[in-house]
Amino acid sequence: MSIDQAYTELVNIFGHKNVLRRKEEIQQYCLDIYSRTEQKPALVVKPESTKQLSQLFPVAEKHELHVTPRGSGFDPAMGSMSNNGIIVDLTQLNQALALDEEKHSITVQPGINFRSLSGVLASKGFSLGLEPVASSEATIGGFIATHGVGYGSIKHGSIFNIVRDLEIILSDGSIVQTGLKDVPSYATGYDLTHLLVGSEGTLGIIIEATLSIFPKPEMATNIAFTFSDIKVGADISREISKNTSTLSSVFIMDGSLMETLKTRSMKISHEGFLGVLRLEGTKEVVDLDASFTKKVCESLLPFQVGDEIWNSRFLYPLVKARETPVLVEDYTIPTDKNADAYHKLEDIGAKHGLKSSFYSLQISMDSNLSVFIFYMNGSSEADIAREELEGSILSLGGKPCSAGLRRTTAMKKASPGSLDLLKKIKGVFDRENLLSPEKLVL
Amino acid sequence: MSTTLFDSLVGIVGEKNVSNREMDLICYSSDIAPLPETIISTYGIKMPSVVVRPQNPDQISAILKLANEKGVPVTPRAGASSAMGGCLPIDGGIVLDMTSMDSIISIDEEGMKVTAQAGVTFQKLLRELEKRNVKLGTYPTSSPSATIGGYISNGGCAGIGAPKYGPISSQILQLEVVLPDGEILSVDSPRSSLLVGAEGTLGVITQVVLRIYPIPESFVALAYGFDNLTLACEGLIKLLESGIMPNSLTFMDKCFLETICELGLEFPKHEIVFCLTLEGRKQLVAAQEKAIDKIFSGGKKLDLAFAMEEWERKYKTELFIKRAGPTIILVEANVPIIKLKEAVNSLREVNEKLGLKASFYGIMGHGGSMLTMPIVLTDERMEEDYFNTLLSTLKMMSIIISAGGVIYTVGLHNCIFMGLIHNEKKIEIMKSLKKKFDSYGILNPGKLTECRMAWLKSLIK
Repeated sequence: MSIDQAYTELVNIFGHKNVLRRKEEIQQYCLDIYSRTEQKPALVVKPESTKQLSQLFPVAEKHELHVTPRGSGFDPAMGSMSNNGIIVDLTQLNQALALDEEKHSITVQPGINFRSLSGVLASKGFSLGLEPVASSEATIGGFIATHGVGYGSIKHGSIFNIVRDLEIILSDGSIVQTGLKDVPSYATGYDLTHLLVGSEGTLGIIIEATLSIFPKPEMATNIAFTFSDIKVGADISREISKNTSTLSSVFIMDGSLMETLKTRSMKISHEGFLGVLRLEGTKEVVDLDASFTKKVCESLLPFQVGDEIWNSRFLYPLVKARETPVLVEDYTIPTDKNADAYHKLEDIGAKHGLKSSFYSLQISMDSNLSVFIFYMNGSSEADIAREELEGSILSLGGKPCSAGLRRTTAMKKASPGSLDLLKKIKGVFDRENLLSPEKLVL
Repeated sequence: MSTTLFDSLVGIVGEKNVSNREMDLICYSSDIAPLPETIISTYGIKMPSVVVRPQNPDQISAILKLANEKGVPVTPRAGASSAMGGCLPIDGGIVLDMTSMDSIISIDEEGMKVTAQAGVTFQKLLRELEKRNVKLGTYPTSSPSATIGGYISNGGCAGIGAPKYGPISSQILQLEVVLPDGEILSVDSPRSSLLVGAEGTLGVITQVVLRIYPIPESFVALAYGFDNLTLACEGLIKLLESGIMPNSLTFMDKCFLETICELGLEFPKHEIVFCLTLEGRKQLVAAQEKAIDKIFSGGKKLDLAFAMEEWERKYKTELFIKRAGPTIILVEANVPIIKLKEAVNSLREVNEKLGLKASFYGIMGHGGSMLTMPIVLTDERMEEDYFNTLLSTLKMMSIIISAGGVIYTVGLHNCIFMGLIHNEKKIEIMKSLKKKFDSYGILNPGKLTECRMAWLKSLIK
């Protein structure tokens, strides 16, 4: 393995400015958004075309360097980090390639972020119907690779339901179209498209994605409510999700996150929790659902709010605005266990003298995406607290949203067979075993 | 002396769960669309040598290990309600009848999920769920015989509930599967998607955890008749654009309606009839009905009583037509709704040339697609006629593919179209997956990735 030689060869392929190796150049790639433990990649490449990307693999193989694809680095489990391998920064492959208004689909490159994508769609009267919780800077490729759920999931499901077709590049350099562009491919042979969803870059690198899109809803309205007992809020959110057709998001946050909203000059004052729900659809049906919703949470004094809370929905800017460093874990949790999960966070935080925050978005009638945050303040107990929390959440039936480099053991505990299956099929796709094999090692 | 296959199987599942009686073997050698002798011999389809009814995954694991050891093919089978030949034991060997594994293990209303063995029929499961005031999202029109394992294995992306709740794939929380080498795995979403539509070639699904949903406050069945295919298809496109997702939508064409009427049922006479159902809160359903009346204003709203009757016999209509047969040959194609008109028109054109009469029945799927089923009546006892009809239906499928549709389940008959739909590299990966899972090729051989019918291609050009 010679990094110098690999560097020279990669510069020949990607050009000088697109191959990084100096400490200050690769600094931002040594961490993801929330991680504290650095992993130093040997090299970073930033392809400008898929053709360049396909030439990467022979070099990586020759020099025995593993390859890890990376978008904007919003996976909190160190999924976009690499120890001594090559990171492929996909953010320069960020084009929307084709929007088909008749077929309601858009084909994009993996590095396009949600903000640009929704801009492209909005200009034609469409929306994606699904957005990540962390940030609008997250890329679509990363969202697919981590089985993304988020705003809109309660209506449209996870990215699993939105992805129609993918084009991937394998470590032998070949390019494969996994699905069909115009019609679901569920009953036409093995479903390779959805096999790539949540595969975290271990099977192939996504180079193109065709997604379903939806006509932009005629109107949207936001309703907020506050409550002191999390169980009450969780039950109400569930009840509403079962009986409305325009609910696109419903999330709750605890007091500490609410504080941050306040610093953005929003007038919410409550000791406990804030719940926000958004209805989207035709005016007639949104109005019907809004009055139903208000009736269901009547005792919590619901109030209509403008778009200011909605516009502050992305969690990363909220967390960043608070004390740092933080420790962030995201899990999907059965809806009926969500309140218990919150109490675990509170108990464990108190035990170790750590402040915490809780955020939870309902993603289906039966599950939530819950984000647990510890503010460390120099405490050495954060890692112990995290481990305890992990144990508690897993025993409640929670699953980490991604394995990355850090949560493979938790993933194995939560869904052992799935990891075994992924290991089994890896060699079929990644014959050279180059694509982040360390993510599957326990 | 080595023990015979039969005795070894008796050792695994007990005497009463193994049979090699001729009558059983005959019954287990076809699905709902029986094939005539000539086809059976031209296709090289063998009779199974033994039928086994396993009771649990450990038994299946032992059977598969035994099959690997002895080099005997194993073909999983449940309700056999697909007409694509996917459960035919074409190389003989063991038929694995999954229908004994039909227990409902738990219904968790709080967690909103049901755990059941894969051999349970949808009808049984739905009845049990209904007692607790919950339901499944998506289920097939063949619910009385179709099992959850079978539907999942066959892709499950069209059916009742599919437009609203999505493909069955997105309702699976967990699958337990026995792999061809006997390993038992419990796989959750999204990895479970590999087993969806794998048609029993990568593993045998033994247990499923599915999402369940509350039974909505209100339900309505509606029907609309159109005297013109164009107006009907335009209406469907408008429905898609509106974002209103019916719980179910079926369509029948004139030929289908006439054939049904000849059998003595009273059906309205129109070029196209849509039957659909809506569910939700009372006010919402009322608002949606009003909106749909407007969307389908190119047609005539039909009697609500007829719509309700049609809903009541939802499991029967599609196959009622079989009585006019006695045999039917079904083409099952998934067609994007924006291409539906084109597909139906080009089929009709060709059928006219061929002197073929096809009845169209369709059920809306997920993602703007329509499972479109031209049904041709024939008689499997008239062998030459049957063979010609079969060739014509294969030709119909290739026309649908040129018009933008795809096959719906591969099975035995649709293998020849894989190359028309998928690129070479994708097929190569499918084959490698099969090889990786089933190195000796014992599980459901001759299907999906393994086409034995290539010679048919030249006949349908």
